Formats: sequence, C-alpha cells, structure tokens
Amino acid sequence: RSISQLVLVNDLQRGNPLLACIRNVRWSHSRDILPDFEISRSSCVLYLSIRYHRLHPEYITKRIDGLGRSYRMRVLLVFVDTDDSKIPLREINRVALQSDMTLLLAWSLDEAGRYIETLKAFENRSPDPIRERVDDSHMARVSNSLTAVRSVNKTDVLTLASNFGSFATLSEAAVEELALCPGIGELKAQRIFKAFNDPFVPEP
Amino acid sequence: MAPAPLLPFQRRVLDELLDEDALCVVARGLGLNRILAELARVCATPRALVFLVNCSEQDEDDLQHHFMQMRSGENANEATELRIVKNETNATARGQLYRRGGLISVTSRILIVDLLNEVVPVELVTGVIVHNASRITAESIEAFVLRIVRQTNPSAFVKALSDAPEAFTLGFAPLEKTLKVLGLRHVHLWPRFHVDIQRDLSADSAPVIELRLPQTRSMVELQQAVLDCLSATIGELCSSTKALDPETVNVESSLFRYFDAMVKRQLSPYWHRLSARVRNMADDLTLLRRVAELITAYDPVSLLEYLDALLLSSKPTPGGLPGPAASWMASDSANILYAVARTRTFRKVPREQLPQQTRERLVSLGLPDTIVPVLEVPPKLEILAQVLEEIGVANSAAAGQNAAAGPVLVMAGSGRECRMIRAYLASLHSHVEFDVPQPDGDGGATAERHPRMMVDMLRGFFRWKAQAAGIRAGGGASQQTGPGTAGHDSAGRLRRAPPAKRRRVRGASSAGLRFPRAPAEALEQEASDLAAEVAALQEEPDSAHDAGFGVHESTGASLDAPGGGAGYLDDDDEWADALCAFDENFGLLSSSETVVVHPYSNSKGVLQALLPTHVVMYAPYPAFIREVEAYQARGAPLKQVYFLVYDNSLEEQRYLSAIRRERESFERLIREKATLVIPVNDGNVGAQAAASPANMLLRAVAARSHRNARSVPGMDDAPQQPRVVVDVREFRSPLPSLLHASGFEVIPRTIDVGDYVLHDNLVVERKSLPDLIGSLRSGRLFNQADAMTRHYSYAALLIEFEVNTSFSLQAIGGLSSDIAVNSVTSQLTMLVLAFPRLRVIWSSSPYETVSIFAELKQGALEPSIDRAVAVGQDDASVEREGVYSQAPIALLQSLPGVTLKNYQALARAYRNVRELAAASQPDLAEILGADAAQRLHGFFRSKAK
Repeated sequence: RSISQLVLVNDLQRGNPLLACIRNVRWSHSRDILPDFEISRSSCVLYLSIRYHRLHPEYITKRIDGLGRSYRMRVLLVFVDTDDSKIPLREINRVALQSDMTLLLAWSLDEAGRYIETLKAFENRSPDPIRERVDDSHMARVSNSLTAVRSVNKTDVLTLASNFGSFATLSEAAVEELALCPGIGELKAQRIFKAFNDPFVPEP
Repeated sequence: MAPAPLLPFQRRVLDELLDEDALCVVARGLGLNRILAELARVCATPRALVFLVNCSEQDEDDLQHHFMQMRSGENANEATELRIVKNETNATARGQLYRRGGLISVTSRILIVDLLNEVVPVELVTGVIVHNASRITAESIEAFVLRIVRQTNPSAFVKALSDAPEAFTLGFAPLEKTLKVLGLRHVHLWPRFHVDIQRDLSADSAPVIELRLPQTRSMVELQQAVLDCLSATIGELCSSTKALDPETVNVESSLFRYFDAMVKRQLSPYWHRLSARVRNMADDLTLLRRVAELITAYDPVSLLEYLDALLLSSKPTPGGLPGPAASWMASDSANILYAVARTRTFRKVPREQLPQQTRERLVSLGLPDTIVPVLEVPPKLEILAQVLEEIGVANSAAAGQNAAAGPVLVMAGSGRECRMIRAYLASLHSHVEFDVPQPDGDGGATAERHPRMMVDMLRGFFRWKAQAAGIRAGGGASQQTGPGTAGHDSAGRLRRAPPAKRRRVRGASSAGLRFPRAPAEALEQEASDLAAEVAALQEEPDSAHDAGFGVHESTGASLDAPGGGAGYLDDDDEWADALCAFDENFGLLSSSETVVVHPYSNSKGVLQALLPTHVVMYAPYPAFIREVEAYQARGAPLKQVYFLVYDNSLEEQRYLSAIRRERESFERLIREKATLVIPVNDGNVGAQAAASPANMLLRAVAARSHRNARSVPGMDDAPQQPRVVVDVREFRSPLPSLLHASGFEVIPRTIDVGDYVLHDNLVVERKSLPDLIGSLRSGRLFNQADAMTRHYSYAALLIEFEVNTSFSLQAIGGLSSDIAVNSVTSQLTMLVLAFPRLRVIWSSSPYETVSIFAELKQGALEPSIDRAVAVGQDDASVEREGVYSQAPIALLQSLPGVTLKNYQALARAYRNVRELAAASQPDLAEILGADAAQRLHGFFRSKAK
C-alpha cells in the first residue's frame, strides 16, 4: 500500500484519543513529519485543544513557526473542549489568520476525526457538490427563479407555473390575476408583480 | 373631504405624546394611524426635519392619503407632505431631500447608510417617529439610527407608536428592553378598557344582529381532519425535541399567527441541531394553520385546488421542486381532508349512469362528462344574499317615509374573499341546472341547480389540473407507475396504523357510504385524469386567464340585475362592452342601492369615506368592530350592523381568543409598567460617547493585548478610530450596529467582493449558519470564495452563530458513521480544500465578532475606501450605490443564462423582467452571446412541463 493512501500521524500524537475516531481512512505513525497529521505532500493538519492552549498559550505559535513553508494547505484543527472558549478563540482566530492557517473547529473528538477523514477522502475530489449547478429540468429553473422573490415557496411555484404556463405569460400577469391563485395572498401577489414589473433602474 | 376630527380620547393620546417622548401602545382599531398622521402633521412644521421610520408601504399609503384629504378640505393651505425615500432614490437626490426638510418616511437601512455617510444633516434633525415599535430589538437597525441621532443631536425628539400589545409580552421584560433600545423613559398604554375610551365609544350604539350559522357537515369534517393533523404533528414535534414547552405549544394555540413565531423562538437555540424532519414539521404547522383558516375563507373549489397544489408540490420530482413529503400528508386524517374537500366539490360517477343530456351539458360547460358537480355554496354567502335583500326591503320602506338611506358596506377578510362575494352577488340569479341520477340508484333523476359562479370555478379547476398534471408528468415521469399504485401501497400501510388512533366514524351519510375513502393521492390522480380528458376534448389552446372567478369584477360591484348572468369576461373588448351595458342599465345609482364589498386588510377610512347606514361583517375582526364604534361615536348615521360568524368554528375561536389575548397583554403591560426600571441614559450618555470615540470595549481589548506584549510599538500614541468598510447589503445584520457601538468607524459602501473590508489586504465574508448551509449548497459561497481569494491576499469566511443558539456546528443533523457528501462538515471541508488560501473565522455571536475584528485590526493600517469599492468591478463608470431596485434585480440574477457579469448590461438594456421576457432571441444574443440568449429565451417561452 503506497504512502499516498495513508494519513501520516506525528509520533507526538501517540495516545491521543482522537486517533480512535479516525475510522474511515487509513493512517500510520511517522517520525519524520513536522505537522501533527500529514494528509498529503501538500496538505497538513495541526491539532490543538483549547484546554491545552489555555495552559500553554505559546505552544501553537511555536508549532506553526516550525512548520515551514512546504505545505500548500495548512489546517489548524481546534477541539473546543471547554465551555468558555470565547477569549482563547479570539486569539486563535487571529493567530490562524496571520499565519496562513485554515481554522476548523470541532466540538467533539468524533467531529475532529471526521474533519481529518474528510480532508483525506476528498483530497482529490472535485468540488462540484458545492459549485453552482446548472440544472436541466425546466421546472427546477422556474423554481429557482421564482423563489428569488421573497416569500414564494415551492407550492406557489407549482401554482403559478400551472396557472400561467410559461414564464413569459407569468411576467405579463396583473396583480389581480396573481392573487386569484389559491394560496397566493394579496401581499405575495404584489411582491411577485413588482419583481416582474418594477424597473431595474428606478426612474426618477 | 376632510378627514373626521379626532375623538376626545384620540386627542388625549396625541396630547400626552406631544408632551413628552414616549412609547405609546394603543389597542388595535382605535385609530393609531389617524393619531400618527396627526402627530406627524403637528411635528412637521416648515423648518423641521422629521424622520418616520419602520413604516410599512401600507402605512405610508394611508398617510399619503390622509394628507391629501387634509389638503382637499377647507384647510387647502395645509402643507404637510410626506416624502418617501426608498432604495430607488439615489444618494444625491436623498441629500437634497433631507436638506429641504419636512416629513420623510425612509427605509431604516437607507437612513443608517446616509447617517454614516453624513448625507443626513444630523444637526438639523428635529426628531424621529418610530412606527410599529413592537418590532424593534437591540439588534435592529432602528436602534442604530436612534443611537447615532442621539449622539450628534441630543435634543432631537423620539416618539414611538405601536398597536400590537401582544408583542410586548413575549420573552423576559420585553417592554423594558424596548424602552431601553428606544432610549425612552415613558410608556403610555391605551387599552380598549381605558376609562376615557369606554366613555367615548360606548355612548350610543346601533343594534347589532349577530348571525351564528352552523357550518355544513363537510366543513365540520374538514375542520376536524385539520385539527387531527395539527395535533398529530404537534405531538410528534414535542416528542422528537425536548426544546418545546407543551404548556404553550398545543393545538389551541396553534390556530394563531403568533404561534409560528413562538415555536421558532423556542426552537431557535437548538435549530441547527434539529433534523430536517423536525424543521419541516415546524413549517407544516404553519401550513396546517393556514389550511384551517381557508376552510371558512375559501370557496370549496379554491380550497381543493390549494390542497392539490400542496400535495403535488410536496412530491419529490427528480431535478426540481425538491422536498420530502410532509408526514401529516400521509396520515389518515389527511386522507379524510382530501376526500371531504373533494366530495363537497364534485363526485365521479360512471358515464352510463348520467343521462345523455346531462353529459352534453357538462361537456358544453368544459367539464368532464363523468362527474356530478356538488359545489357546496358557503352558507355565509347565502345568508349574506338574504341579509342584503332584507336591507333592500327596509330601505325602500324607509324611502317611503323620506328617511335617508346610505350604502351598505360588506367587510370581508381578504381581497380574495371580497372577489368571491362580488362574483356570487353578481351572478345571484344565474344558475346552471343538471339532471342527475338519484343517489340510491333507482334510476330516477333530479334536477340540481348550481350558481353559475361555482360552475365556472369548477371549470377553472379542471383547466388548472390539466396544466399541473403536465408539470408533474414531465418533471417526475419516472415515479408515476400508473394511477394510484404508489398511493395505494402507502395507504395500505397506513390503514394498518395503530387502532388506538382516533378515527372519527362519519355518520351514515349517503355521501360517506357511496365513496369508499380513497387516499388523497389516488383522488388527486383521478382528478388529474379527468382533467386530462377535458383538456383532450377541448382543443383550443388557452392561457389560464379565467381560472377561478372573474378577474375583471369591478371594485365596487352593485347587485346585478336578475338573470343578467353576464358570465365571464375573458378579454378586454368584452369587458368594455359590459361596462357600457352597465352604464345603460344602471346609470347613477342612488346610494341606498349601493353595496360595497371591502377587505379588512385595508379598512382604514372606508367608513368615513362611504358613510354607510348598514354594515355587514362577513367575518369577525375585532379591530374593525372598534372602527365601527369610533364611527358611531362621531355621530354617524348607522342603522344596523350585521355580524356573521360560523358557530363552533375555528373562526369563532380565533376571534374570541384574539380579544382575550389582547386584554391579557394590556393587563400584563400595566403591571410591568408599574415596576419598570427606567433607563437613565436620557440622551446624555450618547453625547458623551460621541466625545470619546474610542469606546470602553476597544480600550479594554487594546490594554489586554498590550499586556500580552504583542502589539506594535507606538500604537497607543494615537488612539485612532479603527475603520471598517461595510457592504450596504450587510446592514440588515446586527453586526454593523454593534461595530459602531464599540467605537469602529463604519463606512457603508456597495462592495462587490466580500462584506467587510478590515484593511487593504483583508476581506471578510460573513455567513450566519443558515446562510452558510444555503450558500454552500447553492454554490454561491464557492463563487464568493473564488472572488475573494483572487482579489485579496487575506480572504476570510466568518462563520457567525446567533446570540441564542448553541455554539457548535457538529450537531447539524448529527454525525453519521461514514463521510456524507451532503453534511455541512463535508461541504465546508470541500470549500477549504478548493481554496487553501481561504481563512476561516469562527464567532459565537455578533458581539463576539466585534472583539475578533478588534483583535484582527491591531496594528493594521486603515483600509482605503476607494480600493474596497473598486475591487472586482468591471465597469467602474456606473454610479452604483442605490442604482438598482432590489427585488427585480434578484429575480433577474436568478434567471438561467444571467450571470454576475452580464446582469448589469441586461438591466441597462431592458426596463424590467417583463420587457426582458418579451425580448427576441437575436436581441438577447447581442448582450449575452448566442448560447446564453438561447437558454434564456427558451426558458421564458417553454411551457411548464
């Protein structure tokens, strides 16, 4: 099994209960990496628990300074294990921002483990699921457009589409016609009408 | 004509409000808008600049109307004029408007931007009037506005008004909180039971005839079915989350509008932890409450259409209109609901059972020839017709004795209800007759008569059905495996539901026996099939213009001539002809013969304008009762009031509870007023804060950081006010207000990339939790992250939790055992992987964000405003701030083929979406390119399928 399939774990983390929570990807210990976890050659993770940070506030800056510049993607994974995390988090937010670390917060070890798993599993995956999708179905597009008008819901979309047919016909509808559709109240009818008929650039 | 003078108690309300700055809470229907108009008129003297904030469009219209009336009366030299500023008015024009002074109603978001940009001459502001004060919270923009005005101009007056006492009783000490936010020390309470008001209103009153009608059997059944659905949903909701208080969340309270807000408030600390199912249930409650209202408010056909639309849109269709079917819809009660809604509209019979003549008649009317119309007429409509007739008789008798008779005013719930009433009255004597076989099937046939209006609506229903079925068949072809297979399956399962579940046994009504209860889906499918048959029979292509009752009913319809039966006016020519005919037939009506149907939603001033002698309240509405009282107190010629209500109905229950709730709210407010802790900062603290811009909090943060020895040397020499450039669209969130409160200089600008520019290299995009989830899914965040990382060396996504929610991302839907692509965790990871340079900032609340920003700003140079604005702009020549109208632009941007790059060009080339939709493909291609133009053009033209 080649190294690239594994998450490498720094020996410093030996005994960290977090490791038990990494189940969906394989990992192994390694002596010669600088970060706590090496996801791939270009991405790494430093792990910090807030409780530890409160005791040793200087620890994390030291670790970051020792990380070098070889990783393109640097994640600071923070386990929020205290109730009052506000003040330490202010500082952690700033440190992460100023030292080019991407900050991720986890509220349980399972969640922290999940971030490491996901970082590895999605390493080479395209970000399509979070990209704007071009939906092919006409109704999906109609729905997308009409719901851009405030308070229009999917039932209204169906009612409007079925009562008016095409989008062009709908754009010519009068307020009274819109208000006739069951479920479309006066206010909603007004809103829809205005979205279609108010000029983009208001006339003086 | 000039508006009616104030009643003595209204004068007192006004006088007390003029005496001192205060919050004034008046019971609904006692003329708050009238008092507001008077207050505004008195305050807005020629040299004054008075801002009116938090007004709805309706309020503004009322005020405009009022001032217009003032000018038209004897006091024609009356000069009060209301100027309205919305985001359509551009910055320069706004500046001029403010300098000219007078009374200005302005959207708070614009006012705050103008205050910060110093477009408003704050020193000239005479005062601020806050309307609808119950909606103001510490985080709202109005609070921000008042703070700034007070800081620079402590002598400006602040007066707040509200007619929603209930809103001040939710949560902990809400009255005190509101007063603090408004910076007011006094509250004036004016309940209906106030001595002055009692005296003024109860002097002499016209006789009221209360008509309590029984609901029809099917209405009772519908009501019971909805209540069953409601109680099942509430039960399920309460058992799946501990967050709800069963004391307050129950079926009784679920019938009121405030219930939604209450449930959302109770759930909000845990909202992100709730499963999608629980959240949907919370929404279902809103929906069911609406259905419960519609049983009495809609006619049977419209109700059935609405229910069918709900069913259709809840079905998952591949690629579009997603959404899991609500659990109540699969319940037995829902099946009863659908079955009853159907049986009171029409019933299906085998073709051979109908006489040939009837079938031909049905087809000629555009109806399927295998149905018998049932078309239950709402009992109130019938009674209303009788009442009007009675009034007519009384009036003609009175006319004999030379007594003046004024018009009849019928008040109904919504514009829609009004149109139904008008349509019914207009076609009162026009019926359609069918021969239908006897229900017991002994071969005999009886003639059944239905009002033409109802029959026309049924035709509209089938037309709609045919269209809607097309959409479903096209969108979800894969899941339709033949009529009712899926439906029967699920129903079969449900039939075996625990017998403990209360099932009402419908009486031995013949209707119940004839129709085995079919599951809602099967019924819906059957109706679709029927509709498809009709559509096939009628080849003419029609746009669905005449779905439902006539669109063209005039606003002040009079009783139609018997047998007139003008039928439906499908196009304008016909309508014009009809108008001529109307004039010929009626000419000028004497006022005693006029019947005006008017909605409650816009009732202000209608009594005064019409001077009716008879008022019919088609539905109960507490506020209007008081308007009638006030009308009488002014010595109006009112002879008789009719009050129509369904006995033992939800409508009645809502009415009674509304009155009770208002009284209890006032009682609570009176108690709270007695123990009120009055805020001390009577404007003076604000002035001090202005003198020392660096505020306590910032100093504290700075001091702490100094101790940590991490700050840049020499920083404490010049306590400069830190500056943040904020996108104007961000002013809806509380953060800009809080930043300003803690000493930041907040510069509002329209910026394209990011929301907050902290310094030239650092930009922040703020996302609340729901926003984060939504924009990750829609792909918007991906685009924003892309733009930010391209233009700034430090680009940060700020994930901000709300004040009362738990600070944890994890529990959104829980952690599954495997990596789920759709979880927030996964999608956030994807984003982080896609943009290694995107930083993430986590904040537990907007208050915390302020501290984080302060931390990030340490030692940094202030951002250049021009640069922040210029970033990401392709076309810098356009004057951008406030150029576009929001809603139309949002719609434009959502259209296929329209992108952030080309929407501006479209907005310049076309006036509105309507014109864009009419554009030809070649014209569009010139702006968008051939490909996108084809997509957009095709989108507009294609039929919903």
